[in-house]
Amino acid sequence: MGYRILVVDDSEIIRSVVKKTINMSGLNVDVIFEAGDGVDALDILDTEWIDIVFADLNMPRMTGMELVNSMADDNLLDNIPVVIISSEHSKVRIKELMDQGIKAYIKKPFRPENFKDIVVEVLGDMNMGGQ
Amino acid sequence: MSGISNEILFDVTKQVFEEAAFVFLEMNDEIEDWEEDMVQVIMSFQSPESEGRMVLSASNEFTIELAANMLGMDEDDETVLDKGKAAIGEILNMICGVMMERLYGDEVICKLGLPETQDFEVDQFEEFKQTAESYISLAEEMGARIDAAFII
Repeated sequence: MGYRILVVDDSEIIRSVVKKTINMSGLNVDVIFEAGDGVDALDILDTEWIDIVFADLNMPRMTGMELVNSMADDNLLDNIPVVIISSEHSKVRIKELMDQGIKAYIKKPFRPENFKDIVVEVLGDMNMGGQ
Repeated sequence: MSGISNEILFDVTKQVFEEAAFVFLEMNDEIEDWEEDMVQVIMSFQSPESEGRMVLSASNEFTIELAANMLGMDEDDETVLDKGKAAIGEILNMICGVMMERLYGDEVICKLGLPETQDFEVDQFEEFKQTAESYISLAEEMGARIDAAFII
């Protein structure tokens, strides 16, 4: 049994690239769900077991940080770690986001090891694949 | 002063294309005229010192190749044919992020706009070229031309 991951980004191509990169990382992945914004992400989180969420910051309808706040207000979702993926590289901005509840931050452009390192750090390394 | 130079613009653009799309760029020494089917993507930014725009120009054909590379798919695959503009927009988004850190460091917050892709217009292209603080023309391995501009 592998990780169940949710990727949230309004860009279809970035969702696909993130999925491809996670699959290249060597992580043992069970399934990767996709959502185009925070609203769609909450729908998936209501019906599916998710181990970790990778989300963009700027999205229509509900941003990445609004998603983090909504999850924090829900007893069933508040323990699911959210990792933000963004082009913003400022340490000050990243600290602000960490203080607001995100678990980790990945800067674009990213590499497979960025995902592997963060998943292992946040969830533990018991599910590493044998690739 | 932003500290921008053609060398920095080249370094950052080359780095992002390589890391995100496995596209390898060199400076374009033999600049040919633009083809007809071109696309331009523009993104605004705001640093503590200034605000400006970055622009990438390339052929539609190249942007489809770019999308295919980013997705690890064949460029003849039907599913990548409509993803070229999104692909070059995302690449410019990444270039802007890396460029802000390179020019202003990571201790300040720079605001990034959204990449806006539009059809290529020669008059606008010439305006970008004339007003840019830094402007370079690049070529990928198969010879496709990609131009990058940093405008303040």
